[in-house]
Amino acid sequence: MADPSEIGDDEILFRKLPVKFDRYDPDRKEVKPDAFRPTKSDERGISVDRAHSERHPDFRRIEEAAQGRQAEYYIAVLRAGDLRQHGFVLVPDPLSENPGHALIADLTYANRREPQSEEKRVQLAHGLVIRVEGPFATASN
Amino acid sequence: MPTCELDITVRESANNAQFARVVAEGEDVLATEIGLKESVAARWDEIIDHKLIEWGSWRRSTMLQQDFEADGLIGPTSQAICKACQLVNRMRMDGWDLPTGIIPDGEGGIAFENRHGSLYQRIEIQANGEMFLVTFRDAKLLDRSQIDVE
Repeated sequence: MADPSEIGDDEILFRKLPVKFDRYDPDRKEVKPDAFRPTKSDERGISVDRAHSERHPDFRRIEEAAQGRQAEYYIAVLRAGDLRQHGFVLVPDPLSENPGHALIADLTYANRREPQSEEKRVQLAHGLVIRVEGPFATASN
Repeated sequence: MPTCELDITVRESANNAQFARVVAEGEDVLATEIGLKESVAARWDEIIDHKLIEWGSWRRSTMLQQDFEADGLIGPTSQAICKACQLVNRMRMDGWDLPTGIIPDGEGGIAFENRHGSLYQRIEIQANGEMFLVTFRDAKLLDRSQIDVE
């Protein structure tokens, strides 16, 4: 039986995109490469949430993945197998409050200015996002 | 077939680099080629009023800053906004068409982007006001050159 912590190729991943930072253009239906730009806290990779499923009932649903401090977020939807096919490394990184948390380990704050990192961000935004959902308002708004 | 590849050239000078618009086989730089319903001038106003001025106002809201910080994001700096205004004025004066996107980079800078099929170009204004023209084709980085507004 497969290790439940392993990320299956058929698993759906969510990446949160703050609306205020224009990470998604709904008119052109375009995700911006900056949506995958690592921030200072991304030392080991950028965050994604593994989607709630029958196999993983404790993981977040899309509306839950879209919660945060800012007023609204879009969710970019990706498929784990697509990322692996293009050479991306996915690492489970469960947190106490978010057991489905995972990392795209190729993209770190330290390597964000390297050509390969820039290329991978373009590849993700322009080629690997299946769809974008939202915007979702955060619960406090 | 017309192409817009390499339609910005970089001229090195003693103190800085300047960018110059050239027309490559009949297509404009950073151009959205499909007709815009509103006038280009009005859209440039919209960029200045609704984006650059709004981004400038973010710095006055402590609550917004805290919300951004929670996501590890930094709004555009005053240097970046000032440089973006210069760039917008230059593009407008020279009759450039609108870029396909103008977005905060999350590290205090601003990116002007243009995407035509497999060609993707960005003018990246960094938090300190430095500017770079970055060109990708099929997600491969072709070139990164420092540029400036004359």
